[in-house]
Amino acid sequence: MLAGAAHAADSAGGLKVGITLHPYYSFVANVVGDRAEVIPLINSESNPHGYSPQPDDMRRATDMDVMVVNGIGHDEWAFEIIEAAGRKDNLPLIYANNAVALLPVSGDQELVVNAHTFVSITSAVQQVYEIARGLGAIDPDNALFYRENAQAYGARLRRLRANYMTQFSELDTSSFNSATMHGAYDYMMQEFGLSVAAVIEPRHGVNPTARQLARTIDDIKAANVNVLFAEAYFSSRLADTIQEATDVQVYSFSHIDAGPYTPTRFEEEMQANLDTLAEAIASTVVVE
Amino acid sequence: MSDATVISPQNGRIESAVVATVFCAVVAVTVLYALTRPDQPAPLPLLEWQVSSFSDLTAEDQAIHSALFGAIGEIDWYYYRLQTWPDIPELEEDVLPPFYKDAFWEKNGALQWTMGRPLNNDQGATYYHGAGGVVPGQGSYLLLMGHIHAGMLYSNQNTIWIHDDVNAPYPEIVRRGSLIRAGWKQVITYSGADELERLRGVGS
Repeated sequence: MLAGAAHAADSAGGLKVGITLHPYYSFVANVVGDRAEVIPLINSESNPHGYSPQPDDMRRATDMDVMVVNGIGHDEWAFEIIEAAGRKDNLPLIYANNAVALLPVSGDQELVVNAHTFVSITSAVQQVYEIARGLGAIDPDNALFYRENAQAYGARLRRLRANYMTQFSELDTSSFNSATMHGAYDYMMQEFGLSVAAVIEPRHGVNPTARQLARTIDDIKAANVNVLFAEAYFSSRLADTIQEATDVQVYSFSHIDAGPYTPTRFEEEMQANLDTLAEAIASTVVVE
Repeated sequence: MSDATVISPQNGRIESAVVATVFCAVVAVTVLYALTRPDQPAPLPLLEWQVSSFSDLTAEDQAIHSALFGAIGEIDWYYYRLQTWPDIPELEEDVLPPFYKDAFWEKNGALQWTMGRPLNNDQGATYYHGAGGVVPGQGSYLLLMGHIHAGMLYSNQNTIWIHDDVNAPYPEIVRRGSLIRAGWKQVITYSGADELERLRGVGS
């Protein structure tokens, strides 16, 4: 059930709120309840990495009153669509990350900004609040409704985090040392007091060259990495190659970029990620 | 007798002059653009008493900063609802990091948090002070909810400060100069709004 569903109201005539990524569908749906319509800009099965805009996207952009965007590197294609649809000057944008403290991608010497703020409960709550603020400014009649829903949803997300925190506090993390294929999990790991020792992709969505891979394998061995998190929705033989070369255990995380758009998608995917994380940590416990 | 017209080759001087003119025009336009183009947006340089959340903090300090930055919104909204600042037990009850004692709290130094008001009750300012962490190299922290007037809904001068000494005492006066003299450094958050400015050159 959506947060704030008790405030049920007729959605006819409500805002049409566009979103670019799966987590933003969940965030906005929980903030607006049934007082606005949430419209994904792209098809749910499209890969948002290096996405090529389609004619249907422009039609959807034409129909929106406002759009919620990541804006810091994960949905650059949305700006092309907005421009192509002729909405550059008349589509209000809510930049969800305005009030999120950004982190660099782990292990990147050039301190590249990590755009995956939406794979984290703490950052999600901040973005939900920013979305509620932005929508309230555009739709003042429902501002209080949006804010109350945001707070209720935020409280539910924080309880989710607290539940896993309790679970993790019972696990010995002293031997846990991880790497990830995709540089998407710094925010999530940080909020659970963990860190990522290495990221295999040299850049967002880019496979390493043979030389880069050889160097990464050396780094993994040197840092005693024992767990590698691959991607749930990407098929890649890289993880197998690295496992063979280093003996790491391989698990999969989702960075919530596939599957149906639903209000509960973010929570479901984060729960799956955190279950995986708990399993991975447990696997590294040294039995005396 | 043939009617053919003989066309003698033109002197290359004109073509050379045209090519030279075009070349000079291209160079002039390029130089003019380079001299007059708008400055590329870049974050303001940090002052001596400031550090960047993005590049100057240890992993634990960065984690505490991120949690404090997120807590600002929650604390502000608490104030908005109840017109009073939440104390530490209330923040813990809301399972709000970095105050809530969980694995994050433990991994990031098990800091002891206190809430207080400066001696001069600086126009409604309140602070949350974290010290006594157990991670080597960790600092002390200060979240300052500053300068709120009676009847105002939000505080708009919220700042985060860090001190190299893990046991730095809480400050009695929270004005900027006093904090700097006491060895505190303001943490300048690199937020999505800053990145947006860098990427697109526009404020959001």
